[in-house]
Amino acid sequence: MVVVVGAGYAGLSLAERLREKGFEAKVYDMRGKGGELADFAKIEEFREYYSKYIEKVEESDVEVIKGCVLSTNPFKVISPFGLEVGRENRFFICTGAVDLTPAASGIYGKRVAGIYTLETAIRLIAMGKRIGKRILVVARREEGILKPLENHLAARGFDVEILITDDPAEVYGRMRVERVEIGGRSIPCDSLIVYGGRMPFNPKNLKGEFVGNVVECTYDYKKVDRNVQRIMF
Amino acid sequence: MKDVLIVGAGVTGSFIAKELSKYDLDVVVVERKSGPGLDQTKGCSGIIHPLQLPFRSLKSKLCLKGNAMMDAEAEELGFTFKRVGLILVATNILTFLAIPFIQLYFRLNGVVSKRLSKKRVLEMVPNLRDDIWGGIFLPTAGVVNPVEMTASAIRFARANGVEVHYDCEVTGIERMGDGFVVRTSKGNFEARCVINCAGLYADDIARMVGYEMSITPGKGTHIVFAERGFSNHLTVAIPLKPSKRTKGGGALIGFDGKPLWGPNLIDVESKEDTSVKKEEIEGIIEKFSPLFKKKPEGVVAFYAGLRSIAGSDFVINQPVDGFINVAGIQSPGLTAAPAIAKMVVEMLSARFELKKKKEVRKPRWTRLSELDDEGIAKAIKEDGDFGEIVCLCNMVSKAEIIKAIEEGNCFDTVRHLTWAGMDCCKCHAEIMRIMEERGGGVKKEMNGSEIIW
Repeated sequence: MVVVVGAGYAGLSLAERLREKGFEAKVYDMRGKGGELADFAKIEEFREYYSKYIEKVEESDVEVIKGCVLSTNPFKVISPFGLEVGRENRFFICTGAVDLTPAASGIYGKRVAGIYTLETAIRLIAMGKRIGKRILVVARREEGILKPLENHLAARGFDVEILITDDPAEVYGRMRVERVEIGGRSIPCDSLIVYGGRMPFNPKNLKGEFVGNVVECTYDYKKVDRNVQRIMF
Repeated sequence: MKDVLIVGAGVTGSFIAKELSKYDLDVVVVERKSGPGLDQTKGCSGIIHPLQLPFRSLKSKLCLKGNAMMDAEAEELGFTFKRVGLILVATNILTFLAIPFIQLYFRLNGVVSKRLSKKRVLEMVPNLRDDIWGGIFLPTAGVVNPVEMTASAIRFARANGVEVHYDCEVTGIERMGDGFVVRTSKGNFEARCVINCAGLYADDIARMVGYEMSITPGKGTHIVFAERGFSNHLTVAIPLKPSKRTKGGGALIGFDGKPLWGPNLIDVESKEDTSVKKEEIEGIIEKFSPLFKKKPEGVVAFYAGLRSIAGSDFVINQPVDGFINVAGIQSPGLTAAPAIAKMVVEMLSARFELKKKKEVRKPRWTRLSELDDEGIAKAIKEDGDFGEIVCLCNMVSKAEIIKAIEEGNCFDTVRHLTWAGMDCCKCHAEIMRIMEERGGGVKKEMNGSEIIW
């Protein structure tokens, strides 16, 4: 039996393709279907930007087992139904990527409220939260996702400035972000969204074939898609 | 009228509250932050020190006593404590030759140590450089999560009847009969005794009853790295000339095994200055990397804490009848906390007839990551929420998050009590979602502020 860990874009695409080829795959996910695309789908500007990938995820009829894979050898899954221990031998690891922490992204100063990684900011927006009024986005590399983010925040009437730079930033504020000093400028703001890049999200060090964003570590789903296609053909 | 009012729910205030909750006393704790241990305590290194110099000081005596008590405290309160041990590394011939003298000095003062050959040191920490000379092992050194340790003392105290108020800042203290009226941002409290555990602001509180003292903040910066297992012991180079003011930090490890380098000591003006400067981070890396063949991989966080310094020792006294100062609790305050609590109970016994409660409730706390397969299966059978993992990095379940929310709707309290979200941001939004669903809101440290990292 083949096991796919993670039911985001890569996991679902892979499971479909495997099924077409006559392999039965069990797909596990600790949260549910769609990964971060399920969050993007809830925000108009992101939904539009990622429509191609979101539609694919939403149309997928792959059955997803809700459970968290703790290890591959022995195969251990934890879920509200208990701990399942077994033996499987073929694993595809589609656990995706996670944003680097602010410290790893060259953010210094005070650790006050109002500092978010891009990932957490998007999740909170998808939950319907207002993350701030004057928002500074510091990105260490250019990525397409910054556009729908800017559009979304601007459409809601917030002040938003996006800086793409390698300059270290220093946060000032008593209880919440009040200003950020970066590249010789002092920028007043109440929130700081940090994007310092991503790294593989595989904290349990699962072993197997790595597919999708766990390899690419990006918000650019073209790259994720290309990686998935390469594995499948 | 309350019997005892404790100002501050840092590690000392919380441990005193915990100790007093075992007696028939009416105790209240007031804390200006939104949860326990979020000021000075949160910024410390989480090291349970094996010793403190000079041996004749009060802080040294309380450190040794507190260290010896720590296993029983961890068991009683349900926080995780690991005696990982500390290696004092001789990096040159001078410190190498000093080893027997250092060991003799330790032994005469009741500190157990073991001599390590160069080969043994390198076996224990293979990442150390090959040109070290040898070392001394101090097996009683350990690590805790300081906020978790504090919050579990408060959890115990609350379970045994202690009242705790957060976001509650003391604005004045007045004498009333043989007791006090304590004015706070949440109204007035009357108490027969007041214990000043206000950390960095203990001087302000002491001044309210006419006792003059001064607390100066001493900042310590840390780096948390991602690479677990880089070293399984605390490692500190033996200094050629020990500083009187600081033990000098080290290549430490955190409660969860991640490398923790620091702290330095920087005098700062403001008691709110917990800023981390780029130069400080570079300085720490420059100081500790020469010990190793390579640096640990991946940076998770930087943080700075403030020590409250009132001269060179702790200040524990009763300047006014019924008013006890527990001030100037700098390093090794975390280690000393259980012993300080005993000492304060002793001081109170002159004023109260202390009677132990017939029954003391020990709150139950399950940490999924510390259970074996059988234990996990059993926990899930009792409560399905144990089967829902929120934080995969530290394997924290929804059940633990919900249980932690009972201690308050403060994001930092939930994170530190459970260890969720301490490695990356993957689960932060999910923790907040559960908190809103269960607790009706999310706060960071202070009332009114929102979230994160």
